[in-house]
Amino acid sequence: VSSRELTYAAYALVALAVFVLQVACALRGTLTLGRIWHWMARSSAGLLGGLLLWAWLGWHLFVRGAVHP
Amino acid sequence: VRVSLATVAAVAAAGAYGWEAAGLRPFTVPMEVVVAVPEALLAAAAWRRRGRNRSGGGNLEGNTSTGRVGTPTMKAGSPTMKAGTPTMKSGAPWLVLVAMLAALEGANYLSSPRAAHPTLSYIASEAMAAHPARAVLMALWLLVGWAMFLR
Repeated sequence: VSSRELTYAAYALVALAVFVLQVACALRGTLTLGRIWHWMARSSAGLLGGLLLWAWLGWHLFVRGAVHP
Repeated sequence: VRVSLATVAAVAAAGAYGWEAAGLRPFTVPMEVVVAVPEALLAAAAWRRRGRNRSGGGNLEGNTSTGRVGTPTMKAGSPTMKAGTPTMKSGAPWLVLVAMLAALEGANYLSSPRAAHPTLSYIASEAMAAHPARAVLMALWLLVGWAMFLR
């Protein structure tokens, strides 16, 4: 197994864990990602932080993202 | 499952915008513009909406404009969701996952060669070599922004 495959598997595991936790929290009525965000967005700093993070992600991925041949 | 007209419209608009934008090259002014325009519009709309909620005495916990926080799925009096404020107990699993992701990303970032130790950005870049994948990611990014700040 190569490092690359291991890395992909690790990311996939984390993504699966996020999905399972999100579904479990939604079913139990506890802390989902949506609720975390709504709690954060109650403050100006939280809303601004979220906006900046989202804006940075778009810039990073689409404007400054390298194009592989 | 009920899907509102606004959601359908948002998905269609994001898809169309993403498809067109995906044809542009990174590091060019047109790409900067197609990313900056939705960012500026969304930031302005989110801030305006926040101001409206505040001046209108909006209760952000039970925000009536979203109708999602404080929905019936939230258990009243739940020990982990008092007043909708995350506690260490309810937030711990998320913190663990964030820490795991940060550690994984950091370890890969500090390792080389990049192809053998890909970071999330690198994986996204590879995936976006194809136009349809680039369009889908752009649409997803727009939809995430819409869901977070406008919905």
